[in-house]
Amino acid sequence: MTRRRLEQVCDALSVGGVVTLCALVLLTFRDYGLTLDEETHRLYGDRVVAYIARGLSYDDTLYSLYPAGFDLLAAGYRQVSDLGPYDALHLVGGLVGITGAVGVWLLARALFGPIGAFIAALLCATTPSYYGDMFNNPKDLPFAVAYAWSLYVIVRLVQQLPRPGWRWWIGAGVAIGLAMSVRIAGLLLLVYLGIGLLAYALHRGWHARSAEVTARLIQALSFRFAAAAGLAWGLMLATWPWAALEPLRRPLYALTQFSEYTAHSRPMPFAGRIIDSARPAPLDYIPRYLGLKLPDILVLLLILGAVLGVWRVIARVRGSAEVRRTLALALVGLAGALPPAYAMVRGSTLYDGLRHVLFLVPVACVIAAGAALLLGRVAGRRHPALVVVLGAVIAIGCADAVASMRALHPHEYVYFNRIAGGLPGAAGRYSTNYYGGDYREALESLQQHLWRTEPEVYLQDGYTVTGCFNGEMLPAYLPPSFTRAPVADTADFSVDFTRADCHLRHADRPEILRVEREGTPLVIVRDLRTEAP
Amino acid sequence: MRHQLEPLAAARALIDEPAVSSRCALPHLIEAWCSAAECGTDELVSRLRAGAVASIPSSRRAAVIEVVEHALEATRAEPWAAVALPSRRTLRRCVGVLERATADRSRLPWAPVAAIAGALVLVLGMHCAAQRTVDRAGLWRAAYYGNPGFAGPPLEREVDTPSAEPPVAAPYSARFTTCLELEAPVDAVFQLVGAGGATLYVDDRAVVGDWSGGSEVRTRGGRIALTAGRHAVRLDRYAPQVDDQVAVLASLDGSAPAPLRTVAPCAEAMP
Repeated sequence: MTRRRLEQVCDALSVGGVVTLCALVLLTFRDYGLTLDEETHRLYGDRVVAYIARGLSYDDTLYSLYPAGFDLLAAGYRQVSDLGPYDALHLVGGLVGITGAVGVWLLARALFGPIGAFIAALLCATTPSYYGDMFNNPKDLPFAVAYAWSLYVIVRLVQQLPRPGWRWWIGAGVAIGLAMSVRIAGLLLLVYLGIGLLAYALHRGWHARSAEVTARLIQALSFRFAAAAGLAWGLMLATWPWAALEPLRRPLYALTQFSEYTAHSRPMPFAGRIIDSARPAPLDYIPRYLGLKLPDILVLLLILGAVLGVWRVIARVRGSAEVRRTLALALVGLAGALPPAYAMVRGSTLYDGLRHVLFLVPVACVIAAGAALLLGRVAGRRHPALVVVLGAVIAIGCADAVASMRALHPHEYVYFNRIAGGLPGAAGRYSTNYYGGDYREALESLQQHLWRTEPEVYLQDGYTVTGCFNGEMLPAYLPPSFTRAPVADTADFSVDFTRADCHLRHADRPEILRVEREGTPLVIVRDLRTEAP
Repeated sequence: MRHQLEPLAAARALIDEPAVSSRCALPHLIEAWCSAAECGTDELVSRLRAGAVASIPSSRRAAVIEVVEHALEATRAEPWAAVALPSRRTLRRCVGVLERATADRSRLPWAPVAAIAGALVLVLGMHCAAQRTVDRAGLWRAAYYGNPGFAGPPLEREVDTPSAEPPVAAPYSARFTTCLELEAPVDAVFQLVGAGGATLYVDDRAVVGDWSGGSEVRTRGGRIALTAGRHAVRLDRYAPQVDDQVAVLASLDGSAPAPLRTVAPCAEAMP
């Protein structure tokens, strides 16, 4: 098979993959449960819609350190959809997640061509942490999606220096603006773009041995950069009523608040010990979670890709060859390395596994795809059969991740790879089910269990439930005959997930049900009507 | 890529034009190579030797450099001076190498992508349209009375559920009617959960009811055997306070009672 033919096959497979993903989302979005953050974001979206409807009249309920980009999109969809509020959220989330996989595909295509793009998109779609969060993570996943798209536009823009068309500048403004309309940390993308433009101007000046060349380039590019940055900032403010009141001070204030976020103090397992989630995360927090929560094949290729990428960039910089391609590659590396490096040096607060740095997953997939492509090229020079072997290894690695996702469904986000010993190996040592999406299964199982075992009591009486879940979860999944107990000790049942040892609160009472995956408990239901033995 | 491809296209056009000397194509060819190597003419050869355009196959590099050197020499010569030119075939080969090296592999196959996007939009549209029917909680005809005793002319509404916000002040009474359409006989279970008073009738037979009227939320259930076909369902309800709501749950397949969904149009079934 010629390279061109292989590229065509990869393009066809990529398109087929997107269709498959869409079908999967449509078939399964109803399976996913409400997570701990979703109700807050749903209400916020509704409030911002109301704020727009009443002519941008601000009230204190709109206070939020988060812009409402995704929440506004979901609220808009709920206005026209007859789906239940949470199903609608999950469908929008799933579709946004697919858009992210397409963004990864585009980014890898711009850097490595169709074969690399297919590998990157495949790795992304089969990463359980990414796929599982698609449906019910209303902030980290949309941000990861916008991050991937922004990097794509930045890369294309850099590749066309010194004269990128206006549409790429507008594209950069929109994509970065969308990222910033989910999390203010999207500001980093403007920094990447600025670094890219400055590096190019300096390189051209150095090459021509003329400071004037650099100055002229900076002058020509800075106006366009400012326009793109202004567009991004405007887009962010349009979805953020609280920040719009002081368009410069408040977004920057929010940024500083996130760097010093200490409001979420609770015990959290990490590498077998218990740490405080409000304290600065250990230095190895991000590398360790990346190494344990990404599929094994992705981890291997990512390590290889990081080493080869640095080597290639250094080699090209020394040879001063193909500066635009080198710069594009270096910017993607920077986008993958700078945030974790900053978080480690700064001592940022991190918890809930990979959740806060989910935006690194698309970048990791692209870097891994570059490594796979390079490996394939080297292997192909030695023997064509080695390329087939490499392809088979990647396919088996992805199939293994898909098998785990199937076993964990619909709680794919609790995945841990074989290096960690799977979910059983990570239970108790790392944050597994931190998001509460599994409460739905537990509550519905409790309902069916009671109907099956005590139908007459069920028909004529109500039940009270306690647990570490949000108040909205009970009415979302159970009929009104189930109410939340005002005091935990007066409840009929406790339904508790394993985060922060919540499931041990009533450990002396009999366990009647549990939600588990791979033999590891995620939520435990106890009957509190029975006295402790 | 456009700024690289334009001089290349010009070079190819001039090389292919028999009426024009191939010497006219050389400046365009040089410009295209300079653009690809990101340098000026002075350092073009040295940059090509250093591998500045990495996508040129190494087997072709020497030949390309030879042509470029030749072309540079010709363009630097005075216009009237006679120079030895590379053959058109050699020049075409050189253009071909650059065309392949600078081909924009990241350009999207727009036709299939657009077709797939269109198909997806269609599927999503159909899915959403289907959901509009499936996800309706129900269709009830409601008659609200601004008193506890169903007296006087009612305010009529169509609502998705008897828990819908009432258009009258409390205390009020209300009558909700709808119909069930069953494909087979079932042992149905109905459950009422709420405050105030409520009685549920199926085909005018009371199945479950509680008129104690307190503000405490209570759960009551009842069973009834139903034949296949249409059945009129009626809920009479009394609410001492506006916040008092009632949920109508039903089990028609043996599973735990869930909110009653009545999607059949009831106009002809209801009196």
